[in-house]
Parts: sequence; structure tokens; C-alpha cells
Amino acid sequence: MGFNLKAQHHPQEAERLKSLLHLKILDTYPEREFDQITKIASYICGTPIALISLVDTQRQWFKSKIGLEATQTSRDFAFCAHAILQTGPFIVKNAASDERFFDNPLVTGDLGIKFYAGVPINDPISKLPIGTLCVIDKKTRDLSSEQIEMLSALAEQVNSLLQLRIDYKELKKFEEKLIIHRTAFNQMLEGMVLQNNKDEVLDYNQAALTVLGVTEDQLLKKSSFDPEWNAIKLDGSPFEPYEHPSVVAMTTGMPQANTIMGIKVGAAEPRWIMINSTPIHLDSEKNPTHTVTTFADITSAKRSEEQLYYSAKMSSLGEMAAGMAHEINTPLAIISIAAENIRMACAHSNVDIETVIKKANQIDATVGKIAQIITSLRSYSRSSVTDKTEEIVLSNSIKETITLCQEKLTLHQIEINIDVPNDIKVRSLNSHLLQILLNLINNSVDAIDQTPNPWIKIETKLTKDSALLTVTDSGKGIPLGIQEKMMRPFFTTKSPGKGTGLGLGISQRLAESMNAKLYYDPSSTQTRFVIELPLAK
Amino acid sequence: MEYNSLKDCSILVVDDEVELCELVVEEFKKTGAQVTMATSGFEGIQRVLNKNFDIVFTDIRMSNGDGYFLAKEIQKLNLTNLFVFFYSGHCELTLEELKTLNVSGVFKKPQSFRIILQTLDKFIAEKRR
Repeated sequence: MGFNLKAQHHPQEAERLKSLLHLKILDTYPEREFDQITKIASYICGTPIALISLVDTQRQWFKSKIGLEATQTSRDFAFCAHAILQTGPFIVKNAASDERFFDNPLVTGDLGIKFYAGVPINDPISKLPIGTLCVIDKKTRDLSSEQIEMLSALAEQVNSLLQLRIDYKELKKFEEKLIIHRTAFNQMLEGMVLQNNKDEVLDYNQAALTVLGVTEDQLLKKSSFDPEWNAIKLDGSPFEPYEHPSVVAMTTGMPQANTIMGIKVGAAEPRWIMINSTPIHLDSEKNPTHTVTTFADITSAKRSEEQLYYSAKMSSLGEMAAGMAHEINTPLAIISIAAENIRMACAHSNVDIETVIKKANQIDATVGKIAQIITSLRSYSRSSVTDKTEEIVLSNSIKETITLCQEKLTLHQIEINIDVPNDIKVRSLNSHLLQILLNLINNSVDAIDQTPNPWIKIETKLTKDSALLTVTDSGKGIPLGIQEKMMRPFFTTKSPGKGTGLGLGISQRLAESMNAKLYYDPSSTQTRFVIELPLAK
Repeated sequence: MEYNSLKDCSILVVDDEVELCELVVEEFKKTGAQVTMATSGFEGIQRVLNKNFDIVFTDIRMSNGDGYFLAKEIQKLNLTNLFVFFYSGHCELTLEELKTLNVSGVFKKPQSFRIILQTLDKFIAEKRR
């Protein structure tokens, strides 16, 4: 018989060692919970030594120890290396007479072990044995069945402690993550609120209060249905609670992106926010249980955009100024000559009543023409920042637009054909509509000016809820590559100095701001744009 | 009011606003001048090619040949006794540019037509002196 019969390796030794390392318990400081278990084990079994021993590659290391100085011993001599091969308690009543241990240095040496009883402890995840809870004595002895049962129960407790240790580590990691998330949540520049399926605000970040300009009391547990909310749309009409993005996201289960809302607090100018709302499904629920809504203050961006609209409008006005001067001065010349004729006739006492009436009528009619031009100019240049959509007769807006660009059309010999019935009423902002139409007509004039027999046609088609106002010109359509880019700001195909590239992009935004749409119709053989306007109800 | 110089003149009035064109023609006729009317630059140059005029009194912004076109075409004919005047609600040309086009003057709409007549009468009188 050779020196000290070494224990065989566990059949799943590699995985067993991997499990042990994964626990990250080797060479850690003593812990009170483990020490209490060894203390109880020692007491119950009446042994001077009790250990929680973990069987590593080359050593057994003691997580907890009673009655022993050493922190580890060689695995070659370890009783525990034998014990982990058992499913239940491993008991050596007298090591000195046991053929496996009689010449073991731990038996023959100073320690002089005679008695050993160990119960395997298992990794909570892989369930493989990683060590033992064992009791040791220097004299031969035995354990009662109750003591063995208690030792096994305590080994179970060690297993539970290991499980708790894993849970605690996971929890710690989760908590760290949570702290990072919470910090990020609170430091975001965008406001964020979490709402339940009753639309009540459950949580919010600091920016939410700042962006919305409200206090905690005004936000927490409040919903979009709260009567204190005073929200408006871009066109100034009220934002109904059921239209709020969080409510729509909750009821449809679909994320809501880039909704613009104005929030009025007192008499101050509305604060404009852009909102994104996403439904959350917890526990695989069919219907969303929560919504998370983010929003950013776009008031200053909106103001810049309004200034851009205004600049574009003024730029168009500047371009029109020459034509306008001519358009107004020509009828004024008629009035001037007619008035001079009357004055001269009076001065020479040569008054022919019929001629005077004829001249006066001529003046009246000409004044009407000038008034029409001024009305159109006023409609066009009206500041629309605070305007709300209103019911307008579509044909009137078209007449006003044509008045503004008639001179240009005549000058470029462009035939204009209008087929818009007088009874179509839409909900719109007249100044915006005029700006869009004028942009489209100006673009058409620039595009078809040098082509033979140029023409522009303005027509309407009605759908259930909308009037489709089409502006078609004699051009042969827009190439695909340009179609994709033409609505972007500053994109232009015009020669330098002829266009700012703001026209179509701004027109599209103007249309959106009054709940209308502007798009290119690629199905037409001629160049055609469509303005889709909501019908007045 | 007598317009001694204008009354012997042959004048071409060009304006695409027919109502105004007719009124202007009527006013010139009152001076005793012989007046012809055209409603575009293209029509105007045809009249100039077919008849001798002393004055061409033309609008600038017109379709079918504007006032600039008409002035350039007349310049090509090198007619030393024909004087071109613009009558416009808006003129973007500088004095230098007007000289290059050989335009003798610009009358702004609306302006007292009596003053226009007096100015033209005086202008012709000086040219004939």
C-alpha cells in the first residue's frame, strides 16, 4: 500500500472547478454568517474543529474554521477531496486504522486527526460539489443520527448562503446599473415621464419639471385628462386629451414620434415641446401596461423656424416688389389722368356730366383693382405666428395669390388656368396657403420660363375629408434624384442668386403646421404638386 | 394750354395695359400731335419700322417685348431724330444704363400728365432750336 491514498478527481472536475471559481469566494475575508455555521456545527457535533472547506485545484481552502490555525492545506491530504465524491455525509471514525488515511500526514503529524465527518456543499447553479462542511476530532468517535442530520442541515444552510451571496452580487450589479440609469434619467436634458395604463404619471425626471414648467405636485399622479393641462396644437386649436401621444401610444400599442405640442401656462406665450411616446409591455401582456414619454423644449428652435418662414416670406416680397410697384402704379396712372381730365374740364368750365361720370367710374374700378392687390399683399404678409386655422374659401385664396403674381405670369407669358369651384371651404391659414401657392407658382415660372407655350393649371379634387389642390405646370416632371432632396432646406437647382432653396422645405413645414400636406405627385406626366387641405366641417 | 412743339410731333404710345394706353393716346391727341398706339414691344418696333416718329413713349414691363427690348431695337436703327421715353411704374436702370440704351428720359407712373406734356414739349423745342 502506497503513501496516503489520494482521492480521485470528481467525474466533472473541470466544471466543478469552474463553478468554484465563478463563485469568487476563494481567498475572501471571513464572513460572520459562515463562521456562525461552523460554530454551531462544532457545538452540535462536540468536535474541536469545524470547517467550511473548498476544494481547489491543488489545495483545500477554508472559508470558515473553528479550532484550526491553517487557512489551507494540500489537496493531496484532504479528507474533503474524498467527501466531495459522495452524495451524502462522509464519515471516518478512526483515521489511524483506515487504510485510506492511516499514513496521511494530517493523521500522523501534529494535528493527529482521528475523526472526520463531512457533508458536501454544492454550487447553487451547477449543483456540483465544491467543498464540504466538516467536523474533525483528534480522538476516535462517532456521530449520532441526529448530529449527522443537523450537520447535513447546516451544509444546506451553507448552500443557501452561497445562493444568497450570488443573489446579493446580482442585486448589487443591478443596483449599480439602476443608479447609472437613474443618474442618466435625472441628468437628461429631455424631460421623461413614466405613465401607467390610466395615463397617470408614476415617475419623472428633473428635466420634465423644467421643460413643462410645472411643480412636482402638478405632475405626479396627474394624467393628460387633467383639466389643468392647457395644451394646444401648432394651429392653435386645443390638444384634446385623447390625442396626447401617451394616450395614443397606450390605446394603439404603437410608438408615437415627433408630436409637437404647445403648453400654455397663464397668459405667457406657449412653450413648445416635441414628444415621443413608447408603449411598454410588461410580463408579455397583450396590452401595454405603461408608456414612457420623452419631450424636449423646441420653443427657441420653433421661433428660429418662424423667423426663417418670415425671412423667406420677406425675401419673396422683395422679389415681388418691382412687379407690385408696376401693378399698383399703372392703375394709379389711370386714376391720375382721369382726375386731371376732370380738373381741367372744371377749370375751363367745360364740364360734360356724362364724361365726368365716365371718368369717376373709371377711377372707382381702378381703385378696386388696387384694393385687391393690397388685400392680397396684406393676406400674404400677415404675421401668422399666433394665427389659428380658420374656415376659408379656397378660390379666394387662389385669386389673391394670382393677384400677387399676375404681373410675373404676364411678363413671362405664362398661361394660367384655374379650375377651382367657389364653394370649396377648407380649414387653413390663409397667409400660409398664399405663401405655399406663391412658392409653387414661382418655382413653376422659373422652371418653364424658357420652354415653348408654358402653362400652369390649378385644380381641386375632393376626397371625404380633404380638398386636393393641385398645381401642375407644363414641365415634364422632376427627376427621381431631385425628388428625394427637393424638400430639404437649402436644396435648389436654380442658378446662384435665383433661389434660396428654402421654398419647398418651408412650404412643407408651413403645410404641416396647419394640418395640411404638401407633396410631389410622381404619377403625373407633368410637374405636379399637391396641397392636401382638411375640408371645413 | 398750348403745346407748340408737341402739336407737330408724331408720337408712338406703347403700353400693354390697354385702358391706360388709350388714355395716354387721348391726352397726347389733345395737344394736336399725331398719335399711334401699340400694346407690346414687338408691335411697337413694327410701327417704328413702318412710320417716322419723333417720340416713342413706352411702358417698360410688358409681355411680348418689353421697353428695354424696344429701346435696343430702335437704337439699332440709328434714328437720330427719334427720342425714346420710358413711362413706368418701376424702373431699375441707372442713368448710365439709360444713356447706353439711348433713352432720353423716364416718367414715373403715376405722374401728372400735364407735367409730362409740358416737359416733352420743352424737350422737343430745345431739340429743334
